[in-house]
Amino acid sequence: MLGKDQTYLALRTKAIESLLIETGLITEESVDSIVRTYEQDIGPMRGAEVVARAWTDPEYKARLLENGVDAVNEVTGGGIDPKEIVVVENTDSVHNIVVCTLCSCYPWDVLGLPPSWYKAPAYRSRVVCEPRAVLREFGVVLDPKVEIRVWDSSSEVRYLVLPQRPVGTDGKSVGELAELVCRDALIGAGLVKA
Amino acid sequence: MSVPGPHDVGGRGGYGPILIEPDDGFRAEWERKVVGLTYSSLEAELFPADRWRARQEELHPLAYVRMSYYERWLYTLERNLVLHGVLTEQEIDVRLQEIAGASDAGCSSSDGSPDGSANAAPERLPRAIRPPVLEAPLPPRFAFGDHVRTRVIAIEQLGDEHTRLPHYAQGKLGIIARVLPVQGLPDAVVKCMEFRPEHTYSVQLLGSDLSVDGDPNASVCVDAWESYLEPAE
Repeated sequence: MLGKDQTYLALRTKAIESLLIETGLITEESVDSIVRTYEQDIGPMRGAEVVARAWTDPEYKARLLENGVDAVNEVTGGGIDPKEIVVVENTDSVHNIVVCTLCSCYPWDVLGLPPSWYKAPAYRSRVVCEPRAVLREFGVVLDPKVEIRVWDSSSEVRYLVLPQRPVGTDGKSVGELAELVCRDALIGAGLVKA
Repeated sequence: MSVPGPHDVGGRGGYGPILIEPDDGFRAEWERKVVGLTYSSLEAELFPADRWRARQEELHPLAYVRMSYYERWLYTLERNLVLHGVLTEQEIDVRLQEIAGASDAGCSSSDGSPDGSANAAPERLPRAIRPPVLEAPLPPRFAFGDHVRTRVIAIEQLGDEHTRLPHYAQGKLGIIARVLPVQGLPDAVVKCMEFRPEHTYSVQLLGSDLSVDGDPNASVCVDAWESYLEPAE
């Protein structure tokens, strides 16, 4: 594919698609519906809802940390692939950040499409050897005493960061709290809005 | 120790700055289609996900960084469909020319394909059907808090062989941070289509062990299959 222009890539994709559908092994509907789901129906709001529930319901939070898939399914109404989801909790002394150094494994079912920077070699290569500097580039400046844990998603397990609830949000509803949680905070590369 | 493949970038330099762009969507319709075709093919079990990942690893390092992310998806989709006997390169070329309406040989076949190889019918492999239940034959060898050493795993032929233990994490001391579920060993799926269930673990490696400027207050937790680990001395 190296050196081929966009027109060629589109034609080659179309050639493969038409041949595959002719084999009867896949359908056009399956090809389009899968992507539509990830583009439109699934997004970081799923993860944000999970976080907001964990912030307001200590028993849910305990279930979430124990069995990520079941707890996430409680909020999303099911449909999460049975691969394990491990939720890692940020605290005053530990900050978590997620990567897939070998490719770009990402919790698509909970967060939707991954950001470009997450899939590119620069982030994948640097975050495992200089996470503190990488976090600064994302605007996250941590006290040197805060321990950083980088989770390399080398297996089928998907990691989700549970950020800390911001101070001064006691009166907010679950819906309002969810709006504070952005995608980057769920990866560990950002902080929730104050 | 073998040279890491082009995909195995953890801890290596030279990839430039992290470009934090606001968009994460598709830049062209064909990219969207490639994702849909890939997931449909995996659902139809035309080839296993491990081989889909592994085939990208045979790319020349220059190609790996210069191809866009979804170009690599298209590359490995086509390679896997061909290698698993679903389609042939020749029929893809012919269909491409039909769609393009080209009357001459202007649209050539994929890069690097020697003359004649596209005409040979590939060996038809059985569909890559994963068993419904994966159970390890023995209980977990390791437990939370155990000290372990990660093995050094040599890959002789990228693309045909595969491991999920990153180069930076090989031959290192670590501590079991979590016991994870039983998972099929990717190395065995790629090499011989064997769905070998093993216990897996999250292994915490100390930052100070991973690089010269290692932050003593940082660590990397990498997922490891049991055969990647040995008890530490």
